[in-house]
Amino acid sequence: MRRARCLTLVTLVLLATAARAEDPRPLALLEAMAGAGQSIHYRGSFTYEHSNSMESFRVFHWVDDGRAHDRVEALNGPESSLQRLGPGDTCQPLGYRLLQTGPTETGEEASGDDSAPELDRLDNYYQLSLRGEERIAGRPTYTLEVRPRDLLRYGYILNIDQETGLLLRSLLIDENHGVLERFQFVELELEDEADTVRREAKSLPGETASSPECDTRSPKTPSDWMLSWVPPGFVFSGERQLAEDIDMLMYTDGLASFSVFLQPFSGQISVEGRAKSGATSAFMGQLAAGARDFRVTVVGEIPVHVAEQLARGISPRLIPALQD
Amino acid sequence: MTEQSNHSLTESLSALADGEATPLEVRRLLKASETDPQLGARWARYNLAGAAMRRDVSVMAPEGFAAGLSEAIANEPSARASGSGWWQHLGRAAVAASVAGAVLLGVQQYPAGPAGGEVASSQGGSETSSEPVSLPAGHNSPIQPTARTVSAQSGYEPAPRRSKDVVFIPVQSGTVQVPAEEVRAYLNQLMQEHSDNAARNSNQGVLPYARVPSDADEQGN
Repeated sequence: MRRARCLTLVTLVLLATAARAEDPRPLALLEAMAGAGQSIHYRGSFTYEHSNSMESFRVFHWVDDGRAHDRVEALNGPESSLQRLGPGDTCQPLGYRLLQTGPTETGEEASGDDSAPELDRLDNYYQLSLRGEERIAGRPTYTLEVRPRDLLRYGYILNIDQETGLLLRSLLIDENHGVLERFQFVELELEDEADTVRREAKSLPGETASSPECDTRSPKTPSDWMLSWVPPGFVFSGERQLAEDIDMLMYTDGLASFSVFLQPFSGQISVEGRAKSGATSAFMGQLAAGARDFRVTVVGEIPVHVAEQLARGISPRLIPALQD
Repeated sequence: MTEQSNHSLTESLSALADGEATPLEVRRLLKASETDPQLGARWARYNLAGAAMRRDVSVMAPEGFAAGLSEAIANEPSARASGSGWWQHLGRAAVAASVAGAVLLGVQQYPAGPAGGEVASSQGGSETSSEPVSLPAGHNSPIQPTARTVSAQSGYEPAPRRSKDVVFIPVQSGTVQVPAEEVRAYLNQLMQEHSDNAARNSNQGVLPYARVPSDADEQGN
């Protein structure tokens, strides 16, 4: 670590791009992890364990024309799969930019707008420390401990592939130091050609769902809603309109994320409660905006009391017209 | 409380979780839950175990619910008319069972965070200032292969097959219960939408997709 402090800024930036450096800085490792999916093609299988259950999945990942494709198939239980098309490499989601250690050194201008919100460094909210090396899925990885500096988010132990930066294992740690979930690759095969992976994946049924369009405007706040309190370090990363009039607001601190859903409803029945599924917490409540009632739900990999506090602090920016 | 009565309470609790408790048992449980915090913990474990087996979303009652419930009951017409114990007028065990479940869950499940921004300063402050860092369990690296998931640590109570793990608060309408399946499906749908946000913004590759409840996957294709 002492060596890292002596390096000049230029060297830091170089280090950030080369995940293979001998003594990688934790932030550089995270940055490599964030960018790994944009440059490699692979197939592999991983397990996902939470509560008392473990599931296994097969994944195909390839980058085509700058866009990352993922196909994830469940290998146990009912047959199911999902296929996703990521945003292009010219689109850098806010969560990705949160893990950048400096100005984007790739020279791309796509997201180089000056209006980008000032982003806090991730290590203001997490204590990052390198905890040695470990072999996962037959590959050497760095073990990175990510401890939250407050009780408003969970901690992680991440194993990051030394060659590619790919996340090969992740443990999510709650405030009582219990393991909430464990994600771990069992095997991983890298491919040089996207076509090889694509052909395999495409020969399987399933349609590709595109992820939301790239939003480079970087709005700083939701257009219709106000959150009176957001845990420090979390920033607004965009909003979407879903079916059935649901407004979705997205927030992230670079590692954890939560979504706020607002849906108008009518009727006398109101629902309020906490929910938990593995690492994902939810709180469902309601609020009145003018003459309309909204069901507000906060979902995310955050402690449930944080979800509740978020949900209780939401209010409409403008009272909707009374005629509706 | 003697060991024997503890044992029979446990049996009643198990019956309640199965939806088979008699009104008398429910009444005894409610009374015992006022003085015995372990009862609440046990109830939570029963439900968690059941929910874990089904890989369900389990919906817990928020804090303060018990107080709200008492108020709702006090305003209930039949209860006011009778004057004495409201439970005597709840004929069906099912109604009583759902009430009991809500109360017990409201007591136990989550440690509530303090209100406002104090969360960070009061509790988090002590953590950040404690240098040098002593690694807590679960943060030791390399990870011991014996690391357990959370609910694995909570013992191995036999899981009831059909526990009532979903309880809702009828804030305005008194006793109406929202169908659990409806809310569960709604939450599953939102969790799936959230997984796209997580996949884009939490930098952890395909991990967020693994979190989506399996019955929500199919809608996404």
